[in-house]
Amino acid sequence: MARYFLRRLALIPLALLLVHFLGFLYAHQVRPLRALRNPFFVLSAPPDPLFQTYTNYIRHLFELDFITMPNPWGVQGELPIGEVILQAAIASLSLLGIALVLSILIGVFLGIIAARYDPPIVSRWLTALSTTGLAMPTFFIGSLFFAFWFLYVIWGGPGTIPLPISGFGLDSHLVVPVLVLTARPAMMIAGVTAGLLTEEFGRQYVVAARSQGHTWSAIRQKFALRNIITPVILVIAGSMRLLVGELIVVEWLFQWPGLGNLLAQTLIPPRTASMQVAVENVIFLDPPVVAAVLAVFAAIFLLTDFGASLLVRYYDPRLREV
Amino acid sequence: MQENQLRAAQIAIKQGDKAKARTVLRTILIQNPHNEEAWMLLAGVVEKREHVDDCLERVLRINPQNEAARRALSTSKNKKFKAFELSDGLQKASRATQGQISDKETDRKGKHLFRYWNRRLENTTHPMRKSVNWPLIIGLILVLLTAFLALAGPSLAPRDPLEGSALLKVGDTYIKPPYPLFTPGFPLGSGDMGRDLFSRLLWAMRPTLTLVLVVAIVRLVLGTSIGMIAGWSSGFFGRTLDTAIAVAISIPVIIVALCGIAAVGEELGIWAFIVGLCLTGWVETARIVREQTQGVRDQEYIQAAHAMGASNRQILFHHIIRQIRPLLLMLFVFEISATIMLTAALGFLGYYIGGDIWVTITDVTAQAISGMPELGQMLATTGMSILRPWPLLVIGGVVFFVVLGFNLLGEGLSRRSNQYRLGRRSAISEQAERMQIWLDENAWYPLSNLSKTRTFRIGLAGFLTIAVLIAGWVWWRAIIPTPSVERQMVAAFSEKPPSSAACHDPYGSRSSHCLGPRSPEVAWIFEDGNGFVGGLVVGVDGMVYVSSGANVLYAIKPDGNVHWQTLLPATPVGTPAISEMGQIYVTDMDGGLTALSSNGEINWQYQPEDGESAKAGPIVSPDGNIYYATGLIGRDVQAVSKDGQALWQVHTPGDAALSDQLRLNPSGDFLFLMDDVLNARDGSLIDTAALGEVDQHQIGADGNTYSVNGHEIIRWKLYETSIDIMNRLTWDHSKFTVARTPKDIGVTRDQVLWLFYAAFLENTAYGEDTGIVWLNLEGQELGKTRYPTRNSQVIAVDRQAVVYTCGNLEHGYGELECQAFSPDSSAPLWTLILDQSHQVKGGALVAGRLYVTTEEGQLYAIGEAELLPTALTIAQATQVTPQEAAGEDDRVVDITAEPTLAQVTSTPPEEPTAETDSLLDLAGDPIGPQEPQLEIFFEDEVPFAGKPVVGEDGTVYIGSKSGKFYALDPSGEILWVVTTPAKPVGAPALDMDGNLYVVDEDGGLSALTPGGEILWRFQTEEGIALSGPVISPDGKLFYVVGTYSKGYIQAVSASGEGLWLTELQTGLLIHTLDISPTGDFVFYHDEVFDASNGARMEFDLPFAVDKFFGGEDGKTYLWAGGTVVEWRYTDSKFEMTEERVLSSIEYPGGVGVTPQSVVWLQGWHSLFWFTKDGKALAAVDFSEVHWESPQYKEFGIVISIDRDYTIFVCGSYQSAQIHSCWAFSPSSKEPLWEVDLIEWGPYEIYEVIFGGALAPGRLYISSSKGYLYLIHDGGS
Repeated sequence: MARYFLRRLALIPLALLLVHFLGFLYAHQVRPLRALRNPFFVLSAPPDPLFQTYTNYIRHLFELDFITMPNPWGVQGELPIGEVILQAAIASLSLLGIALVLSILIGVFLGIIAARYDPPIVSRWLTALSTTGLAMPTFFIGSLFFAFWFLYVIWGGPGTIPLPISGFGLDSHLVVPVLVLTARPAMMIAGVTAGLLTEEFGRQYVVAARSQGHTWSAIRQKFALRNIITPVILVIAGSMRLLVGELIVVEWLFQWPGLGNLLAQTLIPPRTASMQVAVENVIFLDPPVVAAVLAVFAAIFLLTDFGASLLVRYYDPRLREV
Repeated sequence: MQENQLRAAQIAIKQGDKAKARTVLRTILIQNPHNEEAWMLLAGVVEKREHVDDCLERVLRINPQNEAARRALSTSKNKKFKAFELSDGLQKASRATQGQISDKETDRKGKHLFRYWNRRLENTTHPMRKSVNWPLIIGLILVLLTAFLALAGPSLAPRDPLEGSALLKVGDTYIKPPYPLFTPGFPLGSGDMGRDLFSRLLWAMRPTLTLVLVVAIVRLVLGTSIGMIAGWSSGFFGRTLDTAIAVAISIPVIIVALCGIAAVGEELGIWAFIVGLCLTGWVETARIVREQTQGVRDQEYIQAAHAMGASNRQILFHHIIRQIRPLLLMLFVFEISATIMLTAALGFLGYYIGGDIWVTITDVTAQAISGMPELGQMLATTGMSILRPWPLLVIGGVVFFVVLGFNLLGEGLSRRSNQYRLGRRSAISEQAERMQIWLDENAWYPLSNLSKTRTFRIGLAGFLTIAVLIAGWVWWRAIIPTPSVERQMVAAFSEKPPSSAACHDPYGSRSSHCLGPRSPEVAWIFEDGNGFVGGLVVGVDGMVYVSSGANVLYAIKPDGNVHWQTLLPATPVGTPAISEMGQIYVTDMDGGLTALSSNGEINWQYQPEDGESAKAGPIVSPDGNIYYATGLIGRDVQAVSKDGQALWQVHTPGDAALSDQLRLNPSGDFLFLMDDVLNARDGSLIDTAALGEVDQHQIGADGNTYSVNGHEIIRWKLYETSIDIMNRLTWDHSKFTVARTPKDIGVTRDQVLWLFYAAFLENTAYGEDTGIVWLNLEGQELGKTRYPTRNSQVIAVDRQAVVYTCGNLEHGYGELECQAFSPDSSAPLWTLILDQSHQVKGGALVAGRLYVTTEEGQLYAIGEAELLPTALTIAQATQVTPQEAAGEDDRVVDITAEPTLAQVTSTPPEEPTAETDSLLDLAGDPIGPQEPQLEIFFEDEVPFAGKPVVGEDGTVYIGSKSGKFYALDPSGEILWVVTTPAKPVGAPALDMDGNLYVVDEDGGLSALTPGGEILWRFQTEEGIALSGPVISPDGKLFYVVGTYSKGYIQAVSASGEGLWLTELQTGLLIHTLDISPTGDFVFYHDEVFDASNGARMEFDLPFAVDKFFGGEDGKTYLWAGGTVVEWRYTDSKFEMTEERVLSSIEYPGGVGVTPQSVVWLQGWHSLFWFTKDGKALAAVDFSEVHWESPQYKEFGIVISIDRDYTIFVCGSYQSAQIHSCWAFSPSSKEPLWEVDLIEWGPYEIYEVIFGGALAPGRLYISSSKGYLYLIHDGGS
C-alpha cells in the first residue's frame, strides 16, 4: 500500500520534468514559425539550438540565477520568471481552491436533495438546472454578472458596484470569479451525485434496510452515501479538469493575473499588436514561460489525481486490502 | 352482456388469472365507465398500489356510499396525498348525487378519467413511456432552428454584416457605436464598428456550424475507431491505447486545443481548428465506445462467433458496430455541443477561423478587425466592459441556446434509446423488425453471397456511382433553373453608329459585336518603360494607338511593331480617340487637345484659356466634334470642332468626381457626365429630375440610356426635351451580394445587362469580392460569377455577353490576371496570368483580339498571333466598339478647380512658430524640400526622446533617451549638449525668445537658454512625465504627468512656478496635449481644460467628441465621428459653426487646419484636403498606388505640412524593413518625391518614426533607431 503510493509519488517529478521539457521543446520549435508568419512579431536573432538553450536554462534554474521575462500584466519591464509563476500560482490556486470546495459543497448538497427515494429518480428541477448550467459557456455566465452590474448602475444610479468585477485581490475580488468558476463543476457534481444516489436507492439492500424499519434519511446517511463516496471523489478529481479549463476563460474575462491568464497569453497572439514590440517583448510562445506554466498545471493535475487515489483507497475497504 | 363478462372476470380471478381478468374488465369499462362493480373487481387485480387507489377512488365517485371502497382507501399508506384526492372525489361525487353536476358532465369526466386510467394501466410495464420525451422535442426544435438559421440566416439578415457606421442619429442625439439594444435599425445593437449585431449573428451561424460539424465528424470517427480497437484488442497494443486514452482524458481539451492552434497557426483557418480540437477531442467518445465494446466482447454470442470462425474484422463490423450504432447518433450530438462550447471559449480567448483583418490604428499599433462574421470571432472582437455588456451577452446567449439544443437532443436520444432497450415494442417497430428479418432472409443474405464475387462488386459500385451522379445532376437542374441568355437581335441600334474604334467608344458601352479570344494566348507584348497613361484605341485598319507617360503617342501595327511614334507637346492624359477620318486626338495635362493625322503629324493643337488638366481622354461624336472633361474632378467640359476651334466650354455644378469618361448618346445629341446630362450643341444642362436620384448614366449598346441608382437600374431614352422612362429594373441582389452598388454596368446589343461589382470592402475583405451578374431586362438572373481578383475592371464585353476583366491577385498586389467570364458558367472561360504585378489601365476588344495596357507600360495583345484579314473585315463591317478603359486611376478621388485654392495659396506664409509635440500644429511652415536627398544628420546610440524642433536660426534641438539634450547647427555639428536630470520625454518646446523647455522622466520641466544654460527647473508632485511640453502664447507651459493608472496635466508659469494640476479622465494612451491658439484652453483627447485654472470644461454635447484641437488659423476645432467642425466658446456658451467637413475617415492618423483654414486629414492610406465648408479640394489614395512589394503600404505619420499644403508623410509596408517618406501635394496625384530611409536588418526591431520638423528646404525626421534623418534639396 505505502509502496504503491511512494512509487506514484516518485513518478510525479519525473512526469513534471517530461512535461517541462516537452513544453519547452514545443515553444522553442513553434515560436520561430509563428514569428515568420505574423508580420507584427520579429525575432531579434535566430533561435539557438534547442539542446543548448534548454541546458542553459536548466543550469540557470539550479544556480537560482533566475531568468527574467517580460511583465505580462500590462506594465513595461522585466520580472524574474520564478516570481511571476509563483504569484500567478497563488492567485490561481486561491481561486481554484475556493471554487473546488464550493462546488463540492454545492454539488453534493444539491445532489442529495435532488435524489428522490421512491421511486428512485432524480428530481426534475436538478435535471433542468444541470442541463441549463452545463450548456452555459463560462464567459456567458460571467457576462451575466456584467449585465447585472450594468443594470444595477442604471437603476441604482451611479456609484460603486456591489462587488468588483475585474482585477486581482484576495478579498471581495474573489467573489464573482469564484461564483462563475463554481457554476459548471457544481452542476456536474450535483448531477453525478444524484444519479449515483438514486442508483443506490434502487438496490436490494435498501429494500432490506427499509423493511428493517430504517428511515430513508438513515439509509442515505449510513449506507448509500458511503457507497457512492469513491465514485464521487473520482468525479471531483475529474471536475478539476473542467475547473482548469474554465479557469483560463475566467481569468481572461476578469483579468485575473493567474496561471490560466498566463497560459492564454503564451498561446494566443495579442489582439492588438504594436509594431515596435518584437516577439521578445511579449510572452507569446516564450519557451521558459510555456514550459513553466504547463509544468505547474501538470503538477496540479498529478497531485489532484494522487490525492484522489489516496482518498479512494482510504474510503473503499476493498481497495485498502489490495 | 356485461353481467356475463363480469362473471367471466370473477371466474378468472378465482382461477388466479389476473391478466385475463384485467382484459375482461377493461372491455367492460370501455363500454360503460360507470360500472361500479367492475371498478371494484379491477382494484383487486391491478398490480400497483396507486392503481388500486385509482380504482377505489373511481368506485367512490360513482357511489360515495360504498363503505368497502372507502375502508380500503383509508387504509392506503400514502395517506396525505390520497386523502386529498379522496375528499375531492367524494365531494364531487356527493355534489353529483345532489344534482349539482349534470349527468352529462359526470359522464364526460368519467370518460376522461377512464382514458387516463386506462393509459396508466397499459403502461404498467413501461414506466418511461408515460412521460413525454420533452428533452427530445425541445432539443429537436432548437437544433432545427439552428440549422434553419445556418442555412437561411444570410438571406434573412436585414443589413450587410460588414457595413459599419460611425455615427447614428436617433431623434435629436447622435450616438456612437456600440449602439445599445433596440436601437432603431439595430435590433440587437451593434459592435464597436457600428455593424448590426443581428445581421452579423445571422451570418455567423453558417461558418461556425460548418466548422463544428466537420470537427465533430472527425472526432466521432477517431473516437469510435480508437475506442473500438482499444476495447477489442488486448495485450501490448490494447494497453498502449488504454494509456493514451487515460493521458488524453486527464488534460483539459482547451489547453491541448490552444497548444495545437498556436502551433499550426490560425492563418490556416479551419485546418488549424480541426487539428487543435481533434488532438485529444476524440477521447470522450473513445472512452464510451471502449466501455461498450468491452461489454459486448465478453458476451457469449461473440464467443460463439469466434468459435464459428469469424475474424476480428467480421465480429467488429457485424456485431459490435451494430451494438453501438444506436449510441453513435447520441455521441455525435454531444460531440457537436462540446465542440460548439469549445470553439466559443477559443473564440472568446481570441482564436477563430479567419475572417479578420489587421488594421493599423495608430502609427505603431495594429488591431485585428473582424471581417465576415463567425461566432467565435464575434466573441473575440467584442470588447467586454461593464459599460457595454450587451454584445457579449447576446452572442453568448446564442451560443448557450445552440449548445442547449444539442445537449437536450442528446439527452432525449439517450432516453429514447433507453426506452428501446426496455423493450418498448410498438406496432410499427414490430413491423419494422419483421420487415428486417424478411429482408435479411430474402434480400441481404442472397445478395451478400452474390456480392462476394468481385465482378459483381465492381459492377454494383459503378452502377451506384452513375445513378447517384445522374440523380444529383437531375436534382441540381431541377432546383436551379438557369434562364439562358436570349440572343435575339434588337433593332434599337438603328442610327448609323460611327466606327467606335475610330471614335474612342463615345458611348462607353464596352460592347463589341465580335467574339473575343477563346483561349488566352498572348500574341505579342509591347513595352514602354514610362508606362501608359490610359487605354488604347484601334483604328479600322487595326492600328493600335496608345499614349505613353513619356509624352509619346505610338501607332502600333497589328503585328506588334511600331508604325510610327510622335512626341506630343505636353503630358498626355487618358486614352486617345480617333475620328472617322482617321484623325487622332490626345488630351494633355495642360488641358489642351492635340490632333494628329493618321501618319503621325500634328495637325493642330487647341489650348483653352485656363489650363486645368484633362481628366480623361477625348471622345469624338459622329459629326466630328471632340468633347473632353477637364478640371480636378473632371466637371468642366470642353467642346472643340474638328478643325480645332472652341465650340463651347461649360463648368457643370455637380460635385461628384468624374470617375470614368464622358459618354455620348448614339445620336450624338447629348453628353453624359456621371449624373449630369448636357446638350451636345451648347453644353446646357438638361433637367433629369424625372429620373430621381441617380448615381451615373451609362449608354447601352442597344442605344438606350441606363442609369444606376443603388441597385435599381432605370432604362430610359432622351428626346429633345422629354425623358421617356421605359422601365425600372430591380433584381434580387440579396442572394448575390452584400456589396454596395455596382461599380460598373453595361448592356450588350442583345440587351443582356451586366453588372460589375468590385472590392466591396476595399483594402479589407478577402476572397471572392469581385463579381459579375448578367440580367435580362426583366431582372431575371442569367448568370453570375464571383472571383477574388482585386483592382479589377471590365475591359470589354463581346457579343455573347462574355465579359473580359483584368485585375490583380493577392489583395490587389499580386500578378495581373485577365479572365473571360461567360454568363453560362461561374467558372472563367479562360484565365491568363500576366507575370508582373502590374495594374491595368485599359484595353479594347477588336477583331477577336483583346488588348490590355498597364500603368507600368505593357501592352498585351491577347488572341490569335496572326490577325486574319477576315477578322479585320468583320471588325470594319460590324463597326466594333472597343473600349477605353475606365482608364483614369482613382488615386485622386476628389480634385476640384476651386478658385479658392489659388487664392489661399497666395496668402503670405507665416513665420515658423514654436514647435510643439502635437501632430496638430504642423501647418504653415516654410516650403519643404523639392528635390530631396537623404542624409543622416545626426546619430545617437540610443533612441531619441521624440521629435526635433528647429529654431528660427536653423538650430535643431532634440532630446535623447540617454539623458542628453542636443543643440545642432544646420551643418550637423553639435553646438552644445546638456545632461538633463533624467531622460528627456517628447519634443522640447521653444518660446519666442528662443528659450527651450524640456520635460524629463522624473516629472521635471527645465528651462534652457538658447546657449544651453539651465534657467530653472520645476518638479511635479505627481508621478513621472508622459509627454513633452506645449507652450501657450503667454508663455505658460503644460505637460502630462502621471502614474500607471492616473494621468494629470501639470501647468507651469513662464517663470517656473507650478500653476495647477488637474486629473485626466481618459485613459493614458498615446494622446498628446494640444493648446488652443489663443491659449485659453488645453486639450487632451476629448477633454478640455481652462488654461487659467485647470478647470475641466463640460460642454454637454449631444454627441461624443473624439478629439478637440486647435487650428493654425487661430480657431478651435473638434473631431467627432469623421467630422471636423469649428467651435468657439463665448460668454459661457459653446457654439459650433454650420460649416463642417465630413470625411470617410473614422480614425484619422492626423488632422489639422492650416493658417489658411484648409482642413487636412490623414487616413490609413489616404490624405484629404478640404475647405472649411466641407468641399474636397484634393485627395490622395495610397492604397491604389502600386508597389513592388505585395504588401500594404501605409502612411505611418504625418511629419509636417508646408505652406503649399504639401504634406510630408512617412510610412512603410506592413512587414517591410524600411520606411519611406513622401511629399504629397493637392495639385498632383503622384507623390512629389519619395525617399527611402535606412533599412533595418531581419532581426532588428521595427523602427518607429517619432516625427519631424520642417525648416526652409529641410525636413528633419527622428526615429527610435537613434537616427536623425535630414531630407533636403541637394547642394544647399
